[in-house]
Amino acid sequence: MRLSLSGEHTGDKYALEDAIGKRSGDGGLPRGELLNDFVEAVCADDAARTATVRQEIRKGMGEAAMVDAAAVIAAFNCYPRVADATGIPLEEAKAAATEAMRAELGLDELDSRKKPGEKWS
Amino acid sequence: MIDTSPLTVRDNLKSALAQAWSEVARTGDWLSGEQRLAIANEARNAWQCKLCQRRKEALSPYTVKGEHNHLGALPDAWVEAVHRIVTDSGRITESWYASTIAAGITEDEFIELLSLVTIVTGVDTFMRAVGLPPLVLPATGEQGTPPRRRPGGAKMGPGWTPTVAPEDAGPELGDFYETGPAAYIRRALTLVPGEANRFWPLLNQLYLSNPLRVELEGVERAISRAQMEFIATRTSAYLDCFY
Repeated sequence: MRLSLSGEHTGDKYALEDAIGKRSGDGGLPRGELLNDFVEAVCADDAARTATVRQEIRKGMGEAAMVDAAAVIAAFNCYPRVADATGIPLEEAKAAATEAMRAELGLDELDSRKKPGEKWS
Repeated sequence: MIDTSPLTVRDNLKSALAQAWSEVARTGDWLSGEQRLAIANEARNAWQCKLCQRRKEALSPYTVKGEHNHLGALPDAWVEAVHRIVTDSGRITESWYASTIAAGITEDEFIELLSLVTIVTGVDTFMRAVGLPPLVLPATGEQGTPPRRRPGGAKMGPGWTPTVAPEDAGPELGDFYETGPAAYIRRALTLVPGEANRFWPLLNQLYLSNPLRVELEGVERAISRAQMEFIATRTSAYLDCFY
């Protein structure tokens, strides 16, 4: 969700549908497609594809960029697990600020969006 | 392993990874070194579990029964908790959490287990992404007795576990709330202060110590703030997490 705020700040228009995987693309970002490929390869534990994309990122963006991209993927293998396992909701202000965007992208349909006290399947 | 590899990793990230890994098999706040080591090994093993794979493919994981493929070092309820957090965290429910606590894991133990499983998964993900072999776990855990003391000020919420709000924080949390934003997500592990203080220093370097900043503003990263958020959003979506 902070991606949309970053875009508002810089005046850039990013394609959030790409970021949440509704379609494959670059999100309107430099090297976005390559970064998307990296996320998908790492999260799918596809060693061969990861190695290929890693090399492409090294070549096109540099080793430090590859390391920092890997670090963010690692971080977001942590945040969601903690949020989902503890039922941590969005703060009210954040929820209000992102209401339209969440509706547009269908984020409220995710199981992890349910609040404490709601019934679960 | 990172130190001896030809890969260039910024020093603050390298230190955070080394520090987090050195704590894995140490005596925790609620769990012994041996328990923590068993949890770390089980977190890695969860990816090979056939039951978890069947549940992941099912419309609802709660309709698929069976036994986990596990290493035999933890009680069943602990294995279930570790495997679910690793393999299908996006569909964890409040009733699943309640059943986990009813099965004999205390709320405090659960938080420590969650943090530990998440650290192991995060570090393993990083190593896999950069093309290095997984870090080695020690053969034995540290000997010692965890203090098993809940901090003052712990109250239920804002999720389904107790946390310590900034206004209720006592000396157990040290300067935790002075070193980062008091967002709900940062409160999540505060029931176990030692664990909150193990988890966040790693996350601060993998990502950012202050995610509220719109641009990097001098923070050393080789990708832009927007690129970081694109990766973050894409990865969260992969785990079915709205957060």
